[in-house]
Amino acid sequence: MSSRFPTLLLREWMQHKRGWLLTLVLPPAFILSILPFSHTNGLPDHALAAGLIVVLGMTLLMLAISAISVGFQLSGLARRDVQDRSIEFWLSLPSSHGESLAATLLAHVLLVPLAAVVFGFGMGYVMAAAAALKSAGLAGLASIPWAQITALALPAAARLAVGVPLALIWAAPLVMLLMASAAWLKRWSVAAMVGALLITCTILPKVYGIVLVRDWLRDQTRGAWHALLANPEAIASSPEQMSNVDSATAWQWATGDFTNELHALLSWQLASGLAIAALGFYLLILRRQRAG
Amino acid sequence: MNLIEANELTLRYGKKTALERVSFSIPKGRVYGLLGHNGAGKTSLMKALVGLLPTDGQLSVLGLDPRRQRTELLSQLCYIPDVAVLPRWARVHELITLMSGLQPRFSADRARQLLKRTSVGLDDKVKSLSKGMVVQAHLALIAAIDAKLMILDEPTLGLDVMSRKGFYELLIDEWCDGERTVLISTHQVEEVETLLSDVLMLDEGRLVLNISLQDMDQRFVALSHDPAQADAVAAAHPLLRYRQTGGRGAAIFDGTPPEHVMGLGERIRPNLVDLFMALTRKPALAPSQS
Repeated sequence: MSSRFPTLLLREWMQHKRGWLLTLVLPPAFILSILPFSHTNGLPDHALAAGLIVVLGMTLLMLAISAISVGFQLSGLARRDVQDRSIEFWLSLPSSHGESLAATLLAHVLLVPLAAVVFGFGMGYVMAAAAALKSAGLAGLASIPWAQITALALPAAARLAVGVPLALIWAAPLVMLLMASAAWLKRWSVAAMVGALLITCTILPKVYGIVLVRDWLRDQTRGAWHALLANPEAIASSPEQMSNVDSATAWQWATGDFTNELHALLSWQLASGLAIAALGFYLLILRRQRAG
Repeated sequence: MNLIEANELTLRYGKKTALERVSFSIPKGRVYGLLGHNGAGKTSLMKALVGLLPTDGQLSVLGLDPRRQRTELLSQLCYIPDVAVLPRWARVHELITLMSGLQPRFSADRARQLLKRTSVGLDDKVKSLSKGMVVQAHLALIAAIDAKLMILDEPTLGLDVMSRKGFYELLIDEWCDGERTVLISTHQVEEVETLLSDVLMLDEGRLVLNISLQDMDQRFVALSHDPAQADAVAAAHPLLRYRQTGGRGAAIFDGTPPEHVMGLGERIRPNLVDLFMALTRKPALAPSQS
């Protein structure tokens, strides 16, 4: 196997590790730092339910933070090497435009959110322990059923983790269009995207009755949400209820929920989205070819 | 086998022609200077050679089609595209790691050895280095690639004299071995003259000269003459007339001028700068193959 692609991923790590680590570490560090001065009254008295809320809540929070962070970075990533003038150096090395762009996308859009899920899951235990210590001291810490929490939280976190690539597939057209617009339109890209959204989601439906694009966007966004977690109510409508579920049922639910979403990939909606994503990727390659 | 074969290369940006039917070949073991004014087409030609710009005509570099086999080609040659293009966020040892993974012919040990010749440390961040140090670091990295061909596009533009001297010393001492070929584009003609074995001269996209320095001395004749003989020398239609220090006149001819003109002064060696001026002021001159 060529060492090029792993090296291109390594380059992303070298260049962005500080930002990624800060994004991952600062939120839990902040929560931990204010915990001694906060109330933990909102958590249920049931230790298992409280533990599940904290662990899964932290996992979701970290995924959300990384997703928002990536969303803000996407337009900058499209022009990163051109802006710092290093594009000529990268173009002088034997890697194709496609693999260079793919490595950037894979690292930022997939690997970082996945790392956030894993890190958030781990930090959830730290938070749960800290909250238990604060509310009931060492006795509270000793009363937490860690094995039971893990048995139920792990299937849910795993479902979330495998849902990330699926959600990315649904979000791909929006991600690629945003990056392509940033690469080609530079500072006007945000205005162009906002304008396009305004026209397609507001003006076209209201003035001309054309709802095709708005509905397509809505279905694409819904696909991304469902890919992450389609039907949590099927197992429990709240972590309190989930505490009554056994581990085998939790895994069965996670597998079923994921399989349903895999089947949902076979749709014209997604095919059209992937075609648009491919167009966006091609536009990025074209821009990179002309950047040297 | 020639390392580069270009035949009738033409490159256009919309209506503007950057290269016009350029043909040349470059064998191994030579140091070629690609000379030309700003906008003459040097960078366009360099980019075409490494597959970054499409051209009409035939082009083969190391036996490969640069446009279709760009990745394969770049793994077999060294290319510095511009001054100070190393990523500013990187440390030098990180660049060595990245080059090791991306460039199959790159030797990390050789790079570290070459860097010892410079004032650049392995832990230095590129953004903390001066422009001259960045260029030296870039050359040390690129020269650690085991390749037959090095392409340098204005590598010392904007550097001070010390940095330029250091760059060329490193290049000659550590890379040129009589087997490898360097193609270096510049308009700092006087600085590279002593390094070169051959010259390609571009003017407004056209190749106006392709000659070895050895042949150049034989083909072009410079005549130093008394100012009083200026009109007589001018009547022989030299390529260029200019004034030397001390007030004497000089003229450059393509070929030996008539005997009565030679009698008006004494023959001197034409330098590359004067020839560059002569040929790029007179672009209609037909290119000559060395």
